[in-house]
Amino acid sequence: MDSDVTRSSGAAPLTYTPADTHLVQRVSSAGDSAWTVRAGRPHRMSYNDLSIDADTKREFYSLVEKWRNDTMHMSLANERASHFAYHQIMGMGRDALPLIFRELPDTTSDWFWALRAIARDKAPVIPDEDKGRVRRITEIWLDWGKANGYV
Amino acid sequence: MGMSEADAWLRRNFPNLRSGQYQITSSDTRDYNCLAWAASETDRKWNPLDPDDYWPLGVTRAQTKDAFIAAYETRGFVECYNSEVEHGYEKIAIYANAVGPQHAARQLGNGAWTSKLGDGWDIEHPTLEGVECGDYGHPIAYMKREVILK
Repeated sequence: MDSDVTRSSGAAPLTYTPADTHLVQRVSSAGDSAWTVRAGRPHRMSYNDLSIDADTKREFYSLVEKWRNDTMHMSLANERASHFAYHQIMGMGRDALPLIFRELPDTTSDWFWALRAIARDKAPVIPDEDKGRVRRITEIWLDWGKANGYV
Repeated sequence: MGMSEADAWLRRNFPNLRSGQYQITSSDTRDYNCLAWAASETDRKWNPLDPDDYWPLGVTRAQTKDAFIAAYETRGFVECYNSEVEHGYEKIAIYANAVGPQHAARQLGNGAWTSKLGDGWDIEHPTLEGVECGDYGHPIAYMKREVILK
């Protein structure tokens, strides 16, 4: 029997929560797993509350699903960002930003590369003491997103 | 533990891992990556090519064997030429594929290795071959540093 699980965010070892997010990992009884899209995240803005057209949302989450399935085991952000699906997300430009910011608190460093590519010269400068510290960088980007109307 | 979701993910991405011959030793986290973990650091990610990630000051930001060796030299490692257990030393192995270095693993006192796998888990694996794959490549360099034995 198949089951839906979501990745834990790090605090609880090897635990999974019921599927309350739109990206879930599907694991078959044979051990195969894949990320699939599910709508709705009760503790945040609902999937349809964002003022983005449905096609953009579908495209974004489809690309995220493909990218994450293929690259989550990779170690380096530049290698993960070289995946074609990630290029396509960056190619969506500022249309992708509200969706990226919605993902950011849970998936953090997945998105720094794309955010920098889209924000270009307006990207916030990460102080040397914060480099590599993904929670701190996430805070800096969320502040930037709020200041620029994407959050 | 049976065939958990973590096991399924590991076996899909690292086909050399054999059932019962590796252990998951942490929760999954994005707080650090394999390069940091090899240096026993868990509070930030290391990456020479990501300008927002940490890379030791003064070391060339390049995805090359020389840059990686120089980075770990800042943590007291020196290059060595095999992965054999040496009493009083901690070893690391740097993996590379055709693109360049991709991964690093650290040897434990029992001779096994520990690796942080992407945004997933830390695992203990008995051999370096366990995490060889197309995206990681294979070990191309070994380094060691003295450890204080209790």
